[in-house]
Amino acid sequence: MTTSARRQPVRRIRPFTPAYESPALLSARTVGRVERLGILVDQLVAAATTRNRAHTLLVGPRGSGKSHLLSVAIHRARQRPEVEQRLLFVRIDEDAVGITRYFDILREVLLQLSPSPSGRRAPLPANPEEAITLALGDRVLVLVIENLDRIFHALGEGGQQDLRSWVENSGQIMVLASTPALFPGVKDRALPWWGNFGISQLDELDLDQGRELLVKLATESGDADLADFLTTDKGKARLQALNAVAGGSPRIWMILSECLTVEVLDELVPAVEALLEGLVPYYQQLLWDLSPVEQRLIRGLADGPHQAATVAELAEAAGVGQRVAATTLGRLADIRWVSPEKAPELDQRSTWYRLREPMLRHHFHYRSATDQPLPLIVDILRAWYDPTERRAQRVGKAGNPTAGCEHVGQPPVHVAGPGLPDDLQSVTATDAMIDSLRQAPAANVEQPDDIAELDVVGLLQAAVGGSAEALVRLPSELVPIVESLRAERVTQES
Amino acid sequence: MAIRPIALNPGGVVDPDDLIGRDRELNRLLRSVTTGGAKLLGDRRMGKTSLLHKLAQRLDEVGHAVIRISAESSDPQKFSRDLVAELRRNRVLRDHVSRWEAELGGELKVEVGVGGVRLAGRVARSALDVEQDLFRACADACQRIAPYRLVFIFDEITVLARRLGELVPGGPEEFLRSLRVPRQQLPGVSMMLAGSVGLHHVIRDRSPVNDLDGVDVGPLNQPDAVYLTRCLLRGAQLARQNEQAIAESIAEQTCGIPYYIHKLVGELADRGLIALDQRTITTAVDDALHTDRWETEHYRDRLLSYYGQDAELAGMILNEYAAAADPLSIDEMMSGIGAVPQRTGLARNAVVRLVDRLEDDHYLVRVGDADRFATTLLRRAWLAKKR
Repeated sequence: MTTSARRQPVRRIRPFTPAYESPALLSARTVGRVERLGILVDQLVAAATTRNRAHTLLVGPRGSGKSHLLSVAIHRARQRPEVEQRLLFVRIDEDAVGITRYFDILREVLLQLSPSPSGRRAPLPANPEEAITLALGDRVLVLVIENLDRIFHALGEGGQQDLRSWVENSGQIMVLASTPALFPGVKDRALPWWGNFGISQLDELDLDQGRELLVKLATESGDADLADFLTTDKGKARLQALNAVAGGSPRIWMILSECLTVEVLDELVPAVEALLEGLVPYYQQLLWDLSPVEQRLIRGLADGPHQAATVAELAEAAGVGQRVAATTLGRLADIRWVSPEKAPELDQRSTWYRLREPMLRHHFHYRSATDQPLPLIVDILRAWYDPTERRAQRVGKAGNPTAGCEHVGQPPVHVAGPGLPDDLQSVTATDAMIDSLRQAPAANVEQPDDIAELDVVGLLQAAVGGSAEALVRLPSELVPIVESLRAERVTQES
Repeated sequence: MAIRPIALNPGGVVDPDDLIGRDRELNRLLRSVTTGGAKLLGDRRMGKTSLLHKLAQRLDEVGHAVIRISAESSDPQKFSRDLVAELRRNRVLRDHVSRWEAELGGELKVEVGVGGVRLAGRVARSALDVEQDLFRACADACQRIAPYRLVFIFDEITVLARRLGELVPGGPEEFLRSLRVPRQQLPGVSMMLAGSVGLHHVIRDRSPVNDLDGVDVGPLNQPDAVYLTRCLLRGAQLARQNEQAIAESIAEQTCGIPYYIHKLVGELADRGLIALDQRTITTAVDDALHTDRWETEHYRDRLLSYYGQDAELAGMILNEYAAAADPLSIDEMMSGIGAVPQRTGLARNAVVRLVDRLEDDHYLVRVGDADRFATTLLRRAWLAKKR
């Protein structure tokens, strides 16, 4: 294993404000989303060369790459001379404030098309629509609006009607927008803009795409060792474990890239902790934007012993009535803070809630410096996704194919073998636990009380043994392990 | 006709040159110009606005003076500004704008009210504001292009009418009646009216618009739907091996509704599904209906707001039509939902009136003396959520 120099963190990317990055750089870093980018570029070219105006709305959770995609699509389209000559882009960024009325949008457009020495203090013309038409000439305005849900909420139905009639009467406007989630303004058939957008849901990057992004960023920063390591089997296994903990949001991968070295990635826990540190200000701001009751429910979910909890459990944790909790949790689900689920084998009257962003729960534990299950979860994942290295080294050194396996079915023990390197003298408890799960009979802990009191390892064992409630309460990062082990058992039994 | 790539555009503004089909509707609208005009009838997203764009282009090419405007605004003053802007843009009328401003005193404005639409100067020269009927002023200005006509195309007119109704009781009827006067009394003036919200939801008495020919805008016919689909598939570079078969499947499953054709092809393209088959198409549509991704549950959800105390009966009637493979007569439908008249005391005539309303709201279509669901897609959506 080669060693790369541990780099000092230098802000060279903007995971939270891609709109301020060079579009060419963003374009070079883009992974995946090939079809959607192609469609967007085609639609922009069509807007420049025909009278088609394909209004488009990108939908994706925070950090999914909406701003990035918009910037790259515009950049790539502008490489076409007809686009550069005919389209004018006005962007209302995701952090824009004070855009609450139809006239605020017109003012923003005018300011960007025809900057005034007085700036925002300049009075709006008596006929602002006509002023914009004059400024455009025979060109087409591409109005780029981020967080369209917020803008539409502020506009209300009347403002939305005015916006639509302006766009419709002008004939020279195309709207490109983004939103974290679908909202009434585009979902409700009774509202003016329903059916006016081509809607595209952005999925998270898959593991291969995440790895491709990290390789690009490592190469960009000159860390050839890391770029190489990411393409090895061990590097891929480490990324698999990271992906299970952190999810596949492009933002997460980009934050990670700032702190990754070969050593950090190999050890894994430092990588996750660095990621948590990078997310602190971001999560803090998001949480402060919630109402007090919403904050208490989120806190209850994060601080609870398990990943998922019922409405009753959360109501008690938050100190609110169940009806209030249910309503608030529904609202939190709409804005993608939590996800509701019905566990197939459990009482269907109960809805279980869990935090949508895998890292948010760890964020709370990290900030409160309480005992965290995170290191154990990460260890389990590392052992799961890369069991071969340790075992191969033990077997290779000891010449004994069963070396290290004496613990199977027994409580984890330290096993020393002749010729083993010092760092592999002891078989880790985690490796042993994984092996024992493969071998041991199912645990019999179906009673709800037992389930609620189990720790992570206990939940894992119970879930593998078939407990539906344990599976619901288990950290979502470990669910794929349960599914895989259950499938293995079915195969063995058949 | 050769297949040409068309860029996906579900819901946006369609270039009139990219409008596929609609020959029958377009010809009927063109003929109606000589008789005063028409009203476009059809569900949302069926393509009424795109058809109006095409109509405006055709009329302009021929030599008519066309004022096309969306009246979808919460603010009558915005409608006024938009209308003045259209007057200034119009190749026939723009030369008259300065003259009107001079006659009326000051920058032109349009006053919209239940009494009609009037031109006025923004700054009065005397204590009395001078006004002039907009339609008369425009008709006079267009005499020189006779026999070509002045055609007003008012899209989303129901929004403006409803807004005026909020300001003045009986406003919608009075406003629409004021629009009838010029097309009946002024030579050379025609009007086309359209709206996402049906006129019957805005006015009880339909006499203000009963002089206008009603042109139904429904799904495309099968050849046009397939052609449109092939052009979109070609543009998105999908289904290269079996384009015709896939286009036929998409056209069938979307019932030839252009909005859903664009939408479905867009969703398939987004998923990177270059190779398509019938099963993929069916699964995609099923999923869209079951998960309400296409917001078809709205047709159920709005029953209460549309029909009030008749909502439950409307639901039962629609269930009966949805369950039937063939069109049902009123009597067949009533026997299917049980002894409803006896149970509720509802007369057959009342049921007939409710079915008429369901037709007006595009749930059902008349087939001879019977009715069926307006489209198989809507029927499928209805059945997908039937409890």
